[in-house]
Amino acid sequence: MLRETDVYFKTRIPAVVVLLITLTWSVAAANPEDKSPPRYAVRAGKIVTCAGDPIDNGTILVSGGKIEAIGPRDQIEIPEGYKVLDHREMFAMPGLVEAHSHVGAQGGFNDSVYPTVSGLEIAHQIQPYNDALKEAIQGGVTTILYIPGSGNNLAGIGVVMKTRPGTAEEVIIKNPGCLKIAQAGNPERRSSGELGSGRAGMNWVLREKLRKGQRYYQKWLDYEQGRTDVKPEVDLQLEIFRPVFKGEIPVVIHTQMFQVVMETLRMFHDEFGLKGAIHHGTFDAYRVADEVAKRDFPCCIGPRVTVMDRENGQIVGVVAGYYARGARNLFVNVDATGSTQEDLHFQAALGVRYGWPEEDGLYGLTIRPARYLMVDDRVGSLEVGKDADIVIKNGPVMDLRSAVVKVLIDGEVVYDAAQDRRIY
Amino acid sequence: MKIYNQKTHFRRWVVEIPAVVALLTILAWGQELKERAVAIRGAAIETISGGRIEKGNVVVRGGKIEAVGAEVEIPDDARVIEAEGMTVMPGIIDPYSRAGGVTGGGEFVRVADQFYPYQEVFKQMLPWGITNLSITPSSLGQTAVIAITPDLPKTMVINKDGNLFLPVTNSTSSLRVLRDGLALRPAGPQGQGPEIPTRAGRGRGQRRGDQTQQQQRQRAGQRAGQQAAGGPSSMADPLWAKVVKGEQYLIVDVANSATILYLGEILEKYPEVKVALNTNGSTVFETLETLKKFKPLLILPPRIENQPNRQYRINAARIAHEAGLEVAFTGLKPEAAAAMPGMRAGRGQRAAAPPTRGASEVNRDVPLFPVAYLVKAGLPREIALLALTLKPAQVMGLADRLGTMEPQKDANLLIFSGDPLDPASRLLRVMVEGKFVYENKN
Amino acid sequence: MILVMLGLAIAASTVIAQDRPLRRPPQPPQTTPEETEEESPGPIIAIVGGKIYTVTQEIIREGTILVQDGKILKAGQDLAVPEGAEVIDAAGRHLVPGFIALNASRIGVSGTTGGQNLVQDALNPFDQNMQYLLGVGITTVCSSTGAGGQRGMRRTPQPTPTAPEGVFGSTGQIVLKMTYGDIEGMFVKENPFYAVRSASFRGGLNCFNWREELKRAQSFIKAQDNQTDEGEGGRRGQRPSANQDVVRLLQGEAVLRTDAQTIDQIRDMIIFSRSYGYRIILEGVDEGWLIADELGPAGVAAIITPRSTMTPQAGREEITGGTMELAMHLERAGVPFAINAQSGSVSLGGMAGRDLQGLPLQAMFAVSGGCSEKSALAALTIVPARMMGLQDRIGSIEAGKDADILILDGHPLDYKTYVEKALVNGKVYYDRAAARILPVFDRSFYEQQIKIDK
Repeated sequence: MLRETDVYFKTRIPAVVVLLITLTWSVAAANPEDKSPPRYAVRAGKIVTCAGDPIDNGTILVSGGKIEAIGPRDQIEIPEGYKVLDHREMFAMPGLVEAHSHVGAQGGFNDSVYPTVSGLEIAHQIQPYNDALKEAIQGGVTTILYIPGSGNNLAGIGVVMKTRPGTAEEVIIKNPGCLKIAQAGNPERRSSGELGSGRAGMNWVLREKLRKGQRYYQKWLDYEQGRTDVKPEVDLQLEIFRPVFKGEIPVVIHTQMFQVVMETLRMFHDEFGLKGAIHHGTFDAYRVADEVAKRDFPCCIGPRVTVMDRENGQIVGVVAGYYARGARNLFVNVDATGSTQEDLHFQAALGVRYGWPEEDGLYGLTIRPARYLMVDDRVGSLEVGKDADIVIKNGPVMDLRSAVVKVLIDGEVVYDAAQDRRIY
Repeated sequence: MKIYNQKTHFRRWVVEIPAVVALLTILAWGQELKERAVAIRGAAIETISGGRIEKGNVVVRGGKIEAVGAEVEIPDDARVIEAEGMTVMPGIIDPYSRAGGVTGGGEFVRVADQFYPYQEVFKQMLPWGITNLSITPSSLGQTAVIAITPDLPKTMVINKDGNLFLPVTNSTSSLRVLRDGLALRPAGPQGQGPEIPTRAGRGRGQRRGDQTQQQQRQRAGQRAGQQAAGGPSSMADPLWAKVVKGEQYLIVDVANSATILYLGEILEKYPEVKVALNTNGSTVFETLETLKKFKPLLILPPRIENQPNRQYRINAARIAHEAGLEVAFTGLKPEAAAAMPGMRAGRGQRAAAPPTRGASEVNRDVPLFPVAYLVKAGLPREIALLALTLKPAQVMGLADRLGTMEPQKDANLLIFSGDPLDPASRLLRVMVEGKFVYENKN
Repeated sequence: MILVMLGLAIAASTVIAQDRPLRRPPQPPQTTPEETEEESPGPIIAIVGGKIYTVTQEIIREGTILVQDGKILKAGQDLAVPEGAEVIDAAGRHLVPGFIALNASRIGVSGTTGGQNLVQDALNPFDQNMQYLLGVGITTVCSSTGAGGQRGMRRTPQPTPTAPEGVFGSTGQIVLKMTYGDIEGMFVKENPFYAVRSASFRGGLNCFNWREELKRAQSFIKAQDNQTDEGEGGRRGQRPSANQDVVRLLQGEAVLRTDAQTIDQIRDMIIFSRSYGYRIILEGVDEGWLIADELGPAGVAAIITPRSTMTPQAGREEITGGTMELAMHLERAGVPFAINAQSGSVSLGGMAGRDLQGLPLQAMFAVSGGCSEKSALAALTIVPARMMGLQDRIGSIEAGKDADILILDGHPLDYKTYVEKALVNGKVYYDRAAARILPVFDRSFYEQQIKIDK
């Protein structure tokens, strides 16, 4: 290719030009490390940092994919070589974090041959920057927890990834990211009579598996801490329980309706003491929210926003129901399977519409899910040293009338409404 | 005649037996003429018409009440029932019963023509204190009133020519039966249906120039005309005439709340018409304003119900009473609706929903428990008793025969061990037309 | 820039203004002598102190609306409240005309319809869905008497023709007001559109049949004209037969409403409408943003669902598919558009915002896509009113119009806004505090309570 081009140029074009062109070409080709992310200075009218008070008229310096500095405009000098992204009329906020998503690849997220498949890793099927993720970016979503479905009681291992383009290795930020469990609802789709298709069976299967996992974790712990010399045998089906019981990764528990949510609290919080969250928690589950509040257990509510109270025919906002009963560790999900991931802020906005305080909703879109996923050292707020995942909106963050105009992930502009076609 | 002609061929007993039978019959008849009275002594009496008598006597003779009162003398020949501490009240009348399974399906169903008395279901009514039923067809037709006298099946029907009954729902084909009937509009000749009066006709914005719609309407008129006013006009028309003059209640079963609004609009023009509406509590709650306007008598199940789309409980009978509406109770006994074989919808009409029954089998001994519940929840006691007795009798046009404890009325009465609305008192005896037809042997 | 915008606005408004009524105004009802008796005017309701979005005229700040006998008597600033008037305090509130939903399915209808059974006799004003719709501000619906369709967030382009050939029957619709609990004043109009399923126009054979249908109607009209020329003695029997709906379409008394998503489908509809001279309302118009300039001159009006966008067509090199910015492009091109919800039914399953109750949210999405708030509000009110030929009755706050007014606790296009009261025909049919079908809470109290744990 190169040689052909050279010949072409040599024969037709003055030598100087050829020289220049080949020079640039070779420089670019020879120094791939120079392709490092450009450095930006993002100016915004209001920066919602989700880490303390918002900054009016602020500047964010982005370098090497990280936030280098952030503060009011008059306190931050923009150094030489920084490209200024001037959005002085707009809002900047951290990229949104979704803690319950199925769109890391398109389709194929239920392997439900056995009631529990704790060895399966969804990370193997990631399709970075697929169509659904492109749209997710337009909705401001920059980080997702990509998890298996809820076809069986224990569906495998999820992964925390960015929505940006890149190889799978580049976009993954935590693997294993979580253990996915389904304690009600969907597993009941399995043929009746199969183990784990009823509530009692489900709980039996889960408890048995968790105990097995706990013993396995204990054996390894004993070995690692020198209490025994016998090196335990590696069991791929149970390996995931080591980080789970160590508290390094959270458990995602698909659960809904108040009886089941209560069971979730008992089993995962009281009995096994795991780091988890109630996922969905919809229908009338908000009625046990005071129990949730007592334990400060995180809740990832959605995609159902409301429930009709049969007693009086009133529509109740689910998140607001939790909030009113004292639960505070609240965030939302859209449980995207098709192309709805971009609706994350919409989901929160509806939560706010039905009574969730708006400011709390902001945290529920960003830092809280990040903290739950234990990736808050990288995403979830705009702070120095964190990933430069920045969303620029042309209006208040939650307002449905405002739109995302620019998205930076890892310090690179991945969406610019002025150039890219807006789908969402 | 034959017997004498062929005398020689018969043995003597062939002649003797009929003679004996005839003699006995005559004797029995004579016996009845001067039948012994039955007297109930010392009971509290719910007369319905004249309040409660705390202690009095009731004298029954020849199937009728002879005398009622505190000072009534007991005839010498009377068989006396000592009823001190007990309460006597008129038998309960159900104004809207589907017992006995009279089916619809035809153009016009006359219950009396289909009535079959030899059914266990009637006997089962007695432990609930029900002595009379107005049996309703499941589609347009005429009701019949029966007295529950299972031992005298042939005379159970006491009024063959009952009320006009019509199930109505919110659809043109159903409403037009009512519209045409009240307008005394005869069934139109084939192909020339009468103009369908609809809301659009007098409402705003119906385009006259709209050819397709006009054609459609004409066609509809033709089709509907063929079955206007419920088919054989000879049967329905006289009844409509009575209804329009207000001589007889029109019994209507409404499918839903919306239908009541349509009824209200139609009946606005016929202030004379008396309507008895079979419905339920949540519908009453929803349409109270409209009901107040055309003041139908409401036939309700005696129970606490829910507000529409809510789980808040309401006492519809009380609400209706406080709004100035008359109430009659139906469906005291639970299963009557379920024992309805072969009920199906009339042509072009939705089957009227069987009345929902509130009471349960455990109420057998204390049949008025659900009513007592309503009284406890604020329905005046006398209104509750009226709704069980005289109001249904009025709907049937039989207030001169049934429904109160007054001389010359049918001796249909109940003896309770105490206050009928006290859950501790039990129904002991039921008398229908002067005879005890049920005795509580438990 | 401002001038340009102004110009565009004027262009848009003239296009809208030229909109003649899509059907003849209703003729006065035939009245009986009793009904013609003059009734003395009823009591006056005064809604005082609100910010009035008239939609057709300027916004009136701290204005007053006087309502009498179901109509708006006057709306303006500094109006004297007549003595004895019932006053509704709307200080700090936003007042907008009731919203209009064009794609409801069987709302407020419960009885049998079709054949001899007229829709006017099948109304069910106790349909609880009506209350839920009032709760989001919908006071008028164009309800199909059959089942309605649903639009996903992302739709794939509609494939091959599905309708049997030559079927151009209108799918029945009925315009109803949400007078919950009252039949009076509920029914507004039947069949405001000549609505034909888009599948009827797909494929060569169907297009041929449609053309034939149009030609028959043309000759019918011609024969009719000749006949009137010849007077009563004309050759009555010789009149050719034609689909009367199509005749009315060609006579300008009806307007064709159908679905068109792709450029090809939209252009097909435009070509037909231009060559035979009838008016069209296109639903969907997903790719309309690519040919927005063609829509305006062709007199197309559109019904769009902003959140629902079409995926690009596979195997096409040119730009295809939908965008959230559709409303903006239509607005710029002066194409009048109304907004549909994603579904025509009311869903209480909890997936809020995706059913008919999400109608106002769709207008917010339109604004997010770059459309002005004014147009977005018009797309919920006056534009659909005009489409149905009801612009004299509903769709704006003006003297003489039906008093269908919403009292809102915030900006009409703010997602946090609730309807506090909804008046239909001058009567309060929805009161948030009393109806209690939507949560009642004091947001400011909540916001003060909140202790953010960051």
